[in-house]
Amino acid sequence: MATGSGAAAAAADAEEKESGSRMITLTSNEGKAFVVTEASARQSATIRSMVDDGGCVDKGFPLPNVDSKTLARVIQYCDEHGNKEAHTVDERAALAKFDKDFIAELDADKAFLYDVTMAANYLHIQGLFALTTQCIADTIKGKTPEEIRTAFGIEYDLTAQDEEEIKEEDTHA
Amino acid sequence: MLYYLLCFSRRGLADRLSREKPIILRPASHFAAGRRDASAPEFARRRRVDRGDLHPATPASAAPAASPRFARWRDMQMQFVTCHQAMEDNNDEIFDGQNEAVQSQVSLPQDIQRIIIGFLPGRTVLKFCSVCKFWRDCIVEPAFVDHHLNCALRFRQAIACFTSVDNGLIQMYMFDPITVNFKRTEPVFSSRFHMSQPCNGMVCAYDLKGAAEVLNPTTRKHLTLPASESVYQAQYSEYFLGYVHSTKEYKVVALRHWIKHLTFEVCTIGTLSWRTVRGSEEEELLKTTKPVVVNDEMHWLLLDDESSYFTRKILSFNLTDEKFSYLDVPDSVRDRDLELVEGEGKLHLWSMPCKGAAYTESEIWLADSTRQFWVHLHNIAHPSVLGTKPFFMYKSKLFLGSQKRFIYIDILDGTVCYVDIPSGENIISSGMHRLGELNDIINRFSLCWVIIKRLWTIFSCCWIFLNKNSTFTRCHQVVLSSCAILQAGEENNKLSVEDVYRRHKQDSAGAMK
Repeated sequence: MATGSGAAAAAADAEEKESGSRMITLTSNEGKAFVVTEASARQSATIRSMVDDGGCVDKGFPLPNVDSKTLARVIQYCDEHGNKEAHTVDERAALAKFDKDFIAELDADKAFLYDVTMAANYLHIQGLFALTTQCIADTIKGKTPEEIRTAFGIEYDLTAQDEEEIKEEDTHA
Repeated sequence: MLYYLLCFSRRGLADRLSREKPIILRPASHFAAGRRDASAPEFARRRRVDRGDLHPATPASAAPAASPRFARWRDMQMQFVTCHQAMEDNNDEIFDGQNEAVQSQVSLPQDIQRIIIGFLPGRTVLKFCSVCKFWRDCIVEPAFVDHHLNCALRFRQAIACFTSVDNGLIQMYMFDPITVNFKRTEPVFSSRFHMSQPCNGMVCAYDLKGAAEVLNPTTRKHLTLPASESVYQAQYSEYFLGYVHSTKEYKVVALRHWIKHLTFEVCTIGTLSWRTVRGSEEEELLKTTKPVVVNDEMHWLLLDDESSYFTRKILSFNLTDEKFSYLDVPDSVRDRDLELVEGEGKLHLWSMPCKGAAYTESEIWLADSTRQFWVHLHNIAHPSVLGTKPFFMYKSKLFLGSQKRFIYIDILDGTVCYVDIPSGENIISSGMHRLGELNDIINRFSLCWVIIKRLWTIFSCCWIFLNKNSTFTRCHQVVLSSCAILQAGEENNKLSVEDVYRRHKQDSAGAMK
């Protein structure tokens, strides 16, 4: 891990002046280091503000809330959106297709989808966060309240009185 | 009764306060892990000093001293991992135990749940009130309503088309704005016959000679507007709903038709009175009485004189400061048949060839945001669609129609498409609708309204009684009896929608006989 960060520091030193081609190291909570381009890391508002601040770019960013599997997937998204241009219609269509496939793959494993959502929220990656939350919203749209409680692991904590009130509001509305 | 009301509101407040407590949520696996890691630098540093080892062991332990920003960031991480956790101590053992017990279940932090709820359509959100306490509190919170509105604006715009069926019931049809495919239909629970254009998911429904109400077709909440003195004196009235962005207020503009002139009155939703903003002294001829509402302004075309169809000026009413102003139309279209159209928050002018004119092309003009000049946008060579009025524009489509028809023209290629409206139904209003908008303005005001109304009734009962008998001793009896009357009134208010519908049917059946 220490060597990973050292290598990144060397890389950062070499290309310090050229922002965009600088490399940034992100470390997951398991200590695994991921080296990404600055453009890619800039997808995250959290990291972007840190980089702009000028602090600890060469030392890398520890991300204690994100595990390696999730971080790898998040970086996959950031690479696609950070390193590619989206000026022409074709490029935009390609990105939209990437998003669609990306989310379809995630949708198969709900627990992992939630992990990615939380990581996106934590790193403030707006595009990814909107993508995953919209996906979750789409899946729960047609469910009953009971099914949602099971899906999200929510405990039923409404009192009989609350229920009565909800019922009343619904019939009179 | 009053006591009951007070008790009720106090109970509501107490409930609200008790709900403010953080709800303990099972921490997901990496919360616990994160927390341990985030606190690691402290331990690491201490150990380092003990051992006299100055080399950073991990990047995590090296970073803290680097910049104040990092410290803040670390605090943020700490906050993130500790939020929703009632535990105060740093005892890792307890933490691990709790963690293991729930590892089998997946859960999302509540702030993310909240954001997800915001993506759902309004009717679904209302249904999900019964998921748990947190969801319910979320949904009724004004900040959530704003969040939901923003989401609706970005992702869930729809075209709403309100039609009245012969027996007076109103149907809302919704279309996808891009493909104009039919989405779904919902009954609107109102027995009024006219309707303003939708505004932030609400509409104003009214009868020409009667009261008006603001209603939200999604939440199915109604708010009856206060009666103005001039309602019964004027020949008839029309109502239009608008929104003031700066103050977040909704205002209803009433156009009162007298025999020879018009007057304008404004009522801010939540207040109890109408203000006359334009009296009878100005004698201008409006081309159509329905205004075009663009952001915080309403616009009407003015006719040059009674015998002509030509217009040179636009009358604008600013809802923020409640002032009228004038706007000139472009010189080159003065001899044409003009219509105003709203399109994505901008004012457009549609100029059509007059009868017998040599040219056949229509033009679309756009007013710039300062209302200083007009920009020519498009020429459309469209086959004439007689007897229709423009409703609104969306992207490159111009929607127009009459009572029986709903049509849209593609501005770019000039194709015309017809949307089927079931026979026997008349279009009464149409516009862009924020699908599933949970506007709570009605809820917010209806309760205080009821209280004020009741206080006023009790007060006036007392007043009449005192005037008649000049004794104060029996006054409390009057209060009691008026309470009884009010209670009976409240029972009436509690009539369900089905009851109203049934009653309405009986009434109309009686009228038929």
